[in-house]
Amino acid sequence: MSILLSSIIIVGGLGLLASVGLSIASIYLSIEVDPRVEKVESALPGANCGGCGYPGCSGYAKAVVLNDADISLCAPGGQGTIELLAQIMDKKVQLKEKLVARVHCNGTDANCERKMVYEGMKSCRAAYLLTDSTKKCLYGCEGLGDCVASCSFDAIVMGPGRIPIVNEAKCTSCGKCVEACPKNLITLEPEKTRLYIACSNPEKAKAVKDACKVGCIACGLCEKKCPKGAITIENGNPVWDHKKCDNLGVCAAVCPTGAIHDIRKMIPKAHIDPKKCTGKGECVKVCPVRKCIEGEEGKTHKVNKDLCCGCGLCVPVCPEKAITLKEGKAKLQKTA
Amino acid sequence: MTNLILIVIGAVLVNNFVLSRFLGICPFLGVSKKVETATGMGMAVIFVMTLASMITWVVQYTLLEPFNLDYLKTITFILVIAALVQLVEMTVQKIAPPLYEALGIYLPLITTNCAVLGAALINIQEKYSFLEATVFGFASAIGFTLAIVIFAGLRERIELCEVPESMKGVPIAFITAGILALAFLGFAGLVK
Repeated sequence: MSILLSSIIIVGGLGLLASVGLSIASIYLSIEVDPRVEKVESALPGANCGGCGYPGCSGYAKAVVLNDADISLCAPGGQGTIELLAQIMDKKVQLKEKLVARVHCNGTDANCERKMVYEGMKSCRAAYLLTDSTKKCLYGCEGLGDCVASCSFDAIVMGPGRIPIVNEAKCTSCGKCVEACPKNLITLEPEKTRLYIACSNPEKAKAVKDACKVGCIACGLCEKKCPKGAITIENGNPVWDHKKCDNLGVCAAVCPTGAIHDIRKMIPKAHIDPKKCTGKGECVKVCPVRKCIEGEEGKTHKVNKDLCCGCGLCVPVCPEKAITLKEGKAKLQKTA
Repeated sequence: MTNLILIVIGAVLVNNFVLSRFLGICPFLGVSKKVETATGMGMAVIFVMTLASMITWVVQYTLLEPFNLDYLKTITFILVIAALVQLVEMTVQKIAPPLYEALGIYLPLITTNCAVLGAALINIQEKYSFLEATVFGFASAIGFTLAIVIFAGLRERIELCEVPESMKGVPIAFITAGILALAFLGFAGLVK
């Protein structure tokens, strides 16, 4: 027998033997995988944000099916995902309130002066570790954008006054920014409550006033005037009972320093004057939100009011000065 | 009998696969963060290496040598070992799922583990008998397990120590492995 033939037969035969052996073994040693795991995983948004506390979406899917984990933990998926999971797992749908991130500081460069020029690493955490605070207020936002970088959903942008602005329509309440902020300025609050305190300084009134123009001095007017009794002052800042709050907006109106924000009024929307706009497209280039400003080059542009986050970056770049920020309409955004 | 004892001592201590032949470094560094998984990996290697030594010996002396196909032994051994590892993987997944999860990627990596192939080739090179080859494969795997478990124990303790920032993690592991290999050098000359 020629060496060529014998080598082909022997090595080929061994390969064949191994493959047959393995395929027989795979029948006897096969493992049944619960088909629901795959279904649950495909129902999840696949953002792998880790907001549920499990390692990624596949880890959560396994926990839901095998360990009977809570089906309402997926923040990015929202109510739709909960319904899908409930269908797959044959469980009752739990109603979940949509939460959004809110920044409890309004110490823009104009409102709160910086006591030093920080030239170090462009990270809030680094600045905080080195200096405690680069602002006069010990509790003020550093404005270097750790929260912006942490957001996987492009829901936070840095505003012109170096205070981050949350786009509530995009926020999935995954909580990444809450962890990212070294000063704990961001919390998750129910989207339906349209009022929040834009200050985290617990100090006495004088110290707050010295540091910032719009800080909360804990005067307690909001607590007294709230018709629903939804506000109490705790640690020098008002705290809402979200069940009682009816979004009447009295607190924001009476606040002497303007520290309480009414989102319906506080978030302005960009407006392009169609008569002035020549369609140069400079605003589209700077807009951090995708598809927010619509319109072809050379034609009049339009702002999609639902997407506009009110950051105002487009206002100064317009060569025709056609863009202005207008106060938002006092209506609740639809919850997804 | 003395012959077999010498083979065992030689394979476990003197010519330890990891620390003196430097074979199988990948799982040695990869699965040595916890003693538990290191032991699991060691057990998988013991099983695969012993079986691979036996089967490759049979393949060598019943198929390859009679047909003068000695030059094909590397590729044939890889084929045999790959099939064997697949079988072990399926068995482990069926019998011990936690071990399967813990071993992760390293179980299929035994397929291309040079330690297993090394043992099979050294068997042929040293012209061991079937019994000797089996004992050598088993003892080599014991040596691998010994090294990886000692190393995992060291790494668990290092984890609690204050290591300079630039040395944390893998760098300090490499240095530890080097010092461990030096310590095993003390066995040199025990068996000729």
